[in-house]
Amino acid sequence: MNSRSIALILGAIAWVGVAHGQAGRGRGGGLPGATPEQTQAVADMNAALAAQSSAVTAARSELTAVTFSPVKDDAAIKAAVEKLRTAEIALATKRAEEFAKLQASPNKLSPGQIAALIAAGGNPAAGRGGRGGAPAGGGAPPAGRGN
Amino acid sequence: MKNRFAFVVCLLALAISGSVVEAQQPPAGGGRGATPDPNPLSVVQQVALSREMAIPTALTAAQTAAASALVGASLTLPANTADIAAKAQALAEAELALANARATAFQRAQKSLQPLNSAQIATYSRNAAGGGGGRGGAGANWETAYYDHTGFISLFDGKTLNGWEGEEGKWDVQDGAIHRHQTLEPKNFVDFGQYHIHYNEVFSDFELKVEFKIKTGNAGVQYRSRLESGVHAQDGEPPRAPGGGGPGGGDASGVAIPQRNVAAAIADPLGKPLPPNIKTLDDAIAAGLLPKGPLYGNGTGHPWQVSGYQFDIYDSPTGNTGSLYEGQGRGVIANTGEVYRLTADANGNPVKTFLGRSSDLTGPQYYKQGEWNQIEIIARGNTLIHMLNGKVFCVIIDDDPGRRALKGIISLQLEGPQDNEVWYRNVWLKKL
Repeated sequence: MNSRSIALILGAIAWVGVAHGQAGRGRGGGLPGATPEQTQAVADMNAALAAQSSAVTAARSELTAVTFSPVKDDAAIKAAVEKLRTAEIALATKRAEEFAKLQASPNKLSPGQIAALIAAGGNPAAGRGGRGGAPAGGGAPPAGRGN
Repeated sequence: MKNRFAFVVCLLALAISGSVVEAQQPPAGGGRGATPDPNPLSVVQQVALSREMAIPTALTAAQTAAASALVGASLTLPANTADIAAKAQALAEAELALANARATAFQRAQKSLQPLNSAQIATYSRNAAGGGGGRGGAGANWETAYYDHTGFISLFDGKTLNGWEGEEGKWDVQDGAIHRHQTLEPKNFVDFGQYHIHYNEVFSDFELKVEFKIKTGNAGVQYRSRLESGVHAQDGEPPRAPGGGGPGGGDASGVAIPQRNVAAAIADPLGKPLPPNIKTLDDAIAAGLLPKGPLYGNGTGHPWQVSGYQFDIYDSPTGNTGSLYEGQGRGVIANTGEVYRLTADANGNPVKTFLGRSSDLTGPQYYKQGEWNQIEIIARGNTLIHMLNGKVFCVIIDDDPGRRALKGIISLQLEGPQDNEVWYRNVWLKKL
C-alpha cells in the first residue's frame, strides 16, 4: 500500500468521523454563544420543571386520547383542555420563577439567547419535537357530503 | 501485511460509516419505523385518514403561536402572572379549537369503510400528538399519497403507445397523455363510437392509478377485462352461449356477431393475437376475420373491443363517474356510493345484494369538470374498490363464480358521439 492510498483511507475515516459528529449533534443545538455554565444553568432550570413538564405531557396525552375517541365527546375534550390549561399555567409559573433565579445569577442569558430559548419552547436540549404533526396538511375539510 | 492492514482499515471505515447511516435514520417511534406495525393501516384507512384529517393550517398555526407566546411570557422579567394566565387561556382556546377540529375529522374518518380498531387508534393518536414522522403518520393530504408511486410500475411513458394496443389511428399521444378525439367513420358497420386501447398484459391483484380529463361524453377505465371479439377465440375454444343468461352468456341481441365464449375469455383475457398485418377494423373485415354484415349494432365484435369491469366516466356534474359498469355482462353493478355483493342463484342467474353505502356518500360534486381527475382502483381477490379524487365511490364484492374476473387486461375507453375527447395520463400499477 502506498502513502497515497493510506492518505485516502485516513481521509475517508476523517470525513466519516466529521459526518458522524454532525449526525450525533441532535436538533436542540443549544443557545447561541452560550458558555458551558449557561448551558448547564438552563439544563438545571428545566430539570427543576420536571414535575410540571410531566403534568403537561400527561394532560396533553389525555387530550389526545379524548380527541381520537371512537365517539366525539365535547365535554371530555373541554375538561381535558382545562386540565391542560391548568398544567400549562403551573409549568409557566414555575419556569418564570426559575428563570428569575437564572437571570439573577452570573449565568444570566442575553436577549438573543432568551429569544432562542423561547423559540426552542423553553428547552433547547429537547428540541421542538413537532407536536401535532399528523393532521397537518392544508385545506379545509370537505364542506358537505353528497347524495 | 500491508494488505491486511488496509483491509482492517477499510472495515473500520465501513463500520463507522454504517453507524452514520444508522444515526441518520429517523427514530423508530411514530409512523412506520424499522419494526413491523402489528396493526398496519389498510390502503382504505390511509386514504380516509389522509383525506379527512386535513386540518386547516390556521388552527395548527394558532396553537403553535399560542404555545410560543406562553413560553415567552414565562421567560419575561419581571414575571407577570396575569399575562401568563392570559397566554395560557389563549393557548387553551387554540387547543380546544384544534382538538374539536381533529375530533370531528376523526369521526368522519371512522365512518369510512374500514374504521380503525382500538390498537390502530392508539398508534395513530400517539403519532398525531407526538409529531409522527414515518409514513403511517398520515401527515399528508390524499394527493401526496396518490402521487406516491413507491412499488408501482408505469404503464405509459408519456411519449409513445408502447405496450398498448388499439385500432391504428384511433389513439395518439397528446401533451403527455393517451388521447382520443372522437371522429366517427361509419362504413360497413354502425360506428358505435366505442374505442378501446388496452395494455398488452394480464394483471390479477393490483392497485391502479390513472388520471383522466374528458371533454364531453362517456369514457371509462376497464380492468380485469378481456378481448371478447370472436377474432381472438383460441382454436378449440367453446362457442359463446346463445342468448345471454347464466354463466358464459352475454349479448342477447340475437345478431350473429362474432364473440368469444365469456368463460373462456375470462380465463384467457387476451385470447389469440391478431395477425400482425391486421391494424384496423377494415383490415379485419377485408381479411375475412369478420363478416361484412349485418351491421354491428353495439360493436361487441370489434377486434379491439374490451369487455368486463369498467370504472365509468361521464363528463357531467350529475353523471355517474366512479360507478362500476360491466360491459357485455351485468351492466350497471354499483352506482356511486354503493356497496354491493354479487352472487348467482341456483339457476346461475346473477344476484345483486345491496350491502349499504360508502360513508363517503360520494356524489358528482367530487368530479372535477374540465380538469384532471385522479382515479384509483384496487382489485384484490374478489373485492373491487373505486376511488375518485381521494374518495371511495363504490365497493363490490364479486362472489359470482361464473361471471367474476380475477384477472384481466386494463383498457382505456371513449365512446359517444362526434367530438368527444378524452385524455389519460400517469398510468401506474402496483401488483398486490
